[in-house]
Amino acid sequence: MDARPGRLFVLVLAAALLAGAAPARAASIGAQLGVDRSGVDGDTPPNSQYVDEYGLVAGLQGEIGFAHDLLLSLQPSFVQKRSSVQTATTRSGDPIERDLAFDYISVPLLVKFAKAGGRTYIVGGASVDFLSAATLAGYDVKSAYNSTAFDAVLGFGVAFPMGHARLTTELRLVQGLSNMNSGGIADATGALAPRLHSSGLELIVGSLLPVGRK
Amino acid sequence: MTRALGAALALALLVLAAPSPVRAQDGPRPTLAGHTFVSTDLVPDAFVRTYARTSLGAAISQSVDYPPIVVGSDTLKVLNGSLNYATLGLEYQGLLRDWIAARISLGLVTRLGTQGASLVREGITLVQGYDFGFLIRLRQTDKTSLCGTVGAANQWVTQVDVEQYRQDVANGVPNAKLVDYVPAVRTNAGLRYAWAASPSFGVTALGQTTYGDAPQRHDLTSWGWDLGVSLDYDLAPSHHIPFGAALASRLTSAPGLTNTSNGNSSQTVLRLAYAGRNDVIALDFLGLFDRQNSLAEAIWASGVAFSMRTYF
Repeated sequence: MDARPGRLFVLVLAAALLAGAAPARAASIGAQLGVDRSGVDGDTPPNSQYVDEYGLVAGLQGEIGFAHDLLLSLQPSFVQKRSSVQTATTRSGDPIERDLAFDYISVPLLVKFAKAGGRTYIVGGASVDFLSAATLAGYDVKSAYNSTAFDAVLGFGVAFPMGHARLTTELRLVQGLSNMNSGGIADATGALAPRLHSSGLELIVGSLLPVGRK
Repeated sequence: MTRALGAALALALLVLAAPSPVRAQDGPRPTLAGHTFVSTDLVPDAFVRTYARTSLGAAISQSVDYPPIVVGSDTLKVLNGSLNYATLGLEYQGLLRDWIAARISLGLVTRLGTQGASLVREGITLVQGYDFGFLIRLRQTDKTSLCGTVGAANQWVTQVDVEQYRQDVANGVPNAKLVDYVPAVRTNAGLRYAWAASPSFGVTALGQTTYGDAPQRHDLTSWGWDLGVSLDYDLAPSHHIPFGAALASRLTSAPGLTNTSNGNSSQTVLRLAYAGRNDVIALDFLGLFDRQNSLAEAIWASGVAFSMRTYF
């Protein structure tokens, strides 16, 4: 993994923990784990298509209330975005499949709108993603892709109280806003065509423990 | 298709999470100073409300004069042609607080050349996608409402372009494609403004800027804008009849239904609607102005759409 995203991850994690630990109103911290089907969408090589595959989402979360039933949530996470590139062969037979995988350190900054007394919520916001690895059929193609990406997030969640803690389950639509491909480099290296976005759903289960004073 | 299903699932979840209505006014429909607005799909209203909307429409163009087709040293005269359009829309906006709402919509538009000449020259275009975002109330007075919007749209343009394919084959272009697929993700931010001029008349305006993948292949990204205005008339205050009308027009910097550099395009709609307490059932008369650089004159198309909107 590149050292730069790693350092950034630690910094963001520390910020999230500090934000959560501050003696402010309704602060919580916790961890989250889930799967995504947020592959890639966009230009394909000739006679090819992308097929989304499942990836891992794992990280931490910290949230703090800033108004009545409104919470600001920071969720630094490791996110895998995986697809396979299926290319039709000229002869009859199965298409050739190559795995296209991206690993990101993702930092979503979200606002949660609590509903039903905090049992459900709508979540929306933006995410900054830092590319840590990109492979095509096992080969490193990181240089053909932008190191930073931006996403828009809209989701719905349910919170289950478990004593002082809460267990959260959340489904999100995550839409990549910036082009993943670095364009000119892709042309020069013969990599994939230049217009490419991540897009898909994430299903995440998390836990939140209250900290500080309410 | 997976993307559309994902967006549809997100839409369904947003509906399931529909909050209890929080409204300052008596009815669920947007009202200011005794005027209940009859908004259109083209120029949406400037009120934070919960509603669901569906629309289905079709339009046909006037006869289009196409220039001759040149193949090598031969020039082929072609007959006139026409174009058919069809639209399908689905939208849900849910109130999160009395000052903010989340929205998500799915859309599908097709353009089809219906005669030999137009089929060869224009081919078939299919635009599908979804967009989602937030509507935020910025300021409200007795007679006016100002809202801000922010959102993102993912759109796919699939184009079967027989003419371009013929040219590419004739010119020996490698990997000539009959079907082109242009993905475009764009973000948008804007303002919506509503003014209750009287209990019967209202005005709605919008201004929006967009940024993201360019519609044209030769540009990576581009800026764009939308301007729209709507004048609506509600018969209820004067005649106690639940009926309204609206005339709306929207001008956009993006090309209409192509991925070529065609300049601005505009749409106009005249809406006649049953306007009940919760529901608006409307018949829209559509006008579409789509400039084509390859043609001497712009293309005008007209049609009708059926739209239903329910406020909660």
